[in-house]
Amino acid sequence: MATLQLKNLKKVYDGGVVAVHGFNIDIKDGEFIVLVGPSGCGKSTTLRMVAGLEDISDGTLMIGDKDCTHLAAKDRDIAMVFQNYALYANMTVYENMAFSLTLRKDNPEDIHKKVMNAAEILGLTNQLNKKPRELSGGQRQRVAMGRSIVRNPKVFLFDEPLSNLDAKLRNSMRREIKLLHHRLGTTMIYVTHDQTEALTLADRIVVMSMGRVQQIGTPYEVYHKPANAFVGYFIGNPSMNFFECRVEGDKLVGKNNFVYQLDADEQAALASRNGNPILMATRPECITLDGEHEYQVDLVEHLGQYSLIHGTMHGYHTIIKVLGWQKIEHGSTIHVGFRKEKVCFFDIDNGARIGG
Amino acid sequence: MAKEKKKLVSEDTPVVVKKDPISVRIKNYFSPKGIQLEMLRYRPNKGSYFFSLLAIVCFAVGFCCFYSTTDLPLDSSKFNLLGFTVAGPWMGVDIVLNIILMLFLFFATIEMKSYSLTMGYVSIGIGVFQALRIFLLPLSLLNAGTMPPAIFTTMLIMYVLSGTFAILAGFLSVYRGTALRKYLKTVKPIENEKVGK
Repeated sequence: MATLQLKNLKKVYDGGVVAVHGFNIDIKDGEFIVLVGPSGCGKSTTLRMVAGLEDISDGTLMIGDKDCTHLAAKDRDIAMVFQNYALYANMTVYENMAFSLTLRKDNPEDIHKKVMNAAEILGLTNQLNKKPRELSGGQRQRVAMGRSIVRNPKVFLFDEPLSNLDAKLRNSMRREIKLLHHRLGTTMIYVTHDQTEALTLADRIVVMSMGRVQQIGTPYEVYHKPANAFVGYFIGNPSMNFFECRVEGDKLVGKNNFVYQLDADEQAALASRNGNPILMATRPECITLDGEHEYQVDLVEHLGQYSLIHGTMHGYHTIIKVLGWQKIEHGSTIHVGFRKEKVCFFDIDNGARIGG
Repeated sequence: MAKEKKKLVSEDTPVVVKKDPISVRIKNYFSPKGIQLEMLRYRPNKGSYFFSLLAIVCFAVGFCCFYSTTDLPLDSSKFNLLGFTVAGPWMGVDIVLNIILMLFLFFATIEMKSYSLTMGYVSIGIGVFQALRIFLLPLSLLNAGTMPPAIFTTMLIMYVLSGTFAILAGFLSVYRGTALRKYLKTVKPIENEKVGK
């Protein structure tokens, strides 16, 4: 069993710089957790604290029933896969994968069985006698994963393992990591700045910003019910469209005669904000091509399966995502509307979501 | 439904490593079978490499011993090696021979890591010659009274050791290499198969 409990984990560097503020999460056995956020948000620092590569300034880390807060990295029974693979260039793939077990003075036959097993899982059986320089980026990353797998750790840690790969390879490796998780069933913590990886891989996502946890939830929750404006902006490609408006009774009023009619539920949620400014937000795919709002088209991007229509609506720069190849002229005017159930409201000062 | 987990080692069963008696381990090392043969595909022949390096070291010590004394008189009426009574030219031959042998032994050291049969036989050949060459020039010089017995004794030990290690390295390479080659004929090849010529 490999549950993890991170209780108020905090990291303060010399000079008083707080990299991580009070990180709290309970991770179930076999769960795939993804830490996602922009560069410098503290996700790698958090991962390194779990690995034992960084000291924990405050809080506790429990792996299973063991308090690992001040335990050396080698005693935590975890394995880590790095962004730059960290393979030994002078060793073959076989030797790289066997290295940790060789250091532990395991039986050579057991080492061989474990290495062959891991190589079979990762499709590296034919590459075992090659040196890392003879491998592609994806193969090197698989060797790095294989080196972790042979140790049969309680927890796998991935620190942006796909960042050095090209887009196509990233897609295929993402699938392989997901399949690996299904196959092994081991607890995994994965760090990335790519929200697509987060949404496709995670059982739960932890969105971080400036050292703080913004939201912990399933990919569905994080995408459709963002806890604050930052999550709404960061998750999703393109990001949410934001409209700064004022609550006036049963409607929202924005710039250039923008009016959004609130339904009963929305009115109830915003009742306490009457007369105050708020942020209204909706995803690009939740704006429909029929409605009462005039939309000035600036640019249409065709991406094959869908199109992105860049434009302005009542002075708000907006992006609309629609399926298919849309034949809309640049500079033309169309009319759009909102899918009511997909509209979110956020506090304009702290960005917190208003209502459910 | 519980998730099926693929574990490489069971968490519940403690791993008990039983070590075979040393005679069995030596026998298995020379004549690997089963999984040990499969392991040879991915592991270099460190045994041969190690013994071959030892052979080179002993060779070098013996060589340096021989030429460490500068007052070795070369002219002696008692010197006779294969009908030649002058030691000087033989010293030259000995130096060149040492260089060539050490070079080939060095090549053999590298190639035997890949279970090379050819270099295994070369190593055995060099080892036999090394062990026997003490009875050529060094013994002739000893009999002629021009080599101190202490130096001869040291050289004897070093050359015999060098020969023994070279022969051992060669045997390991030949035995294990042969077994590996037989095994490889029964399995699907992989890229960069470790086996040399």
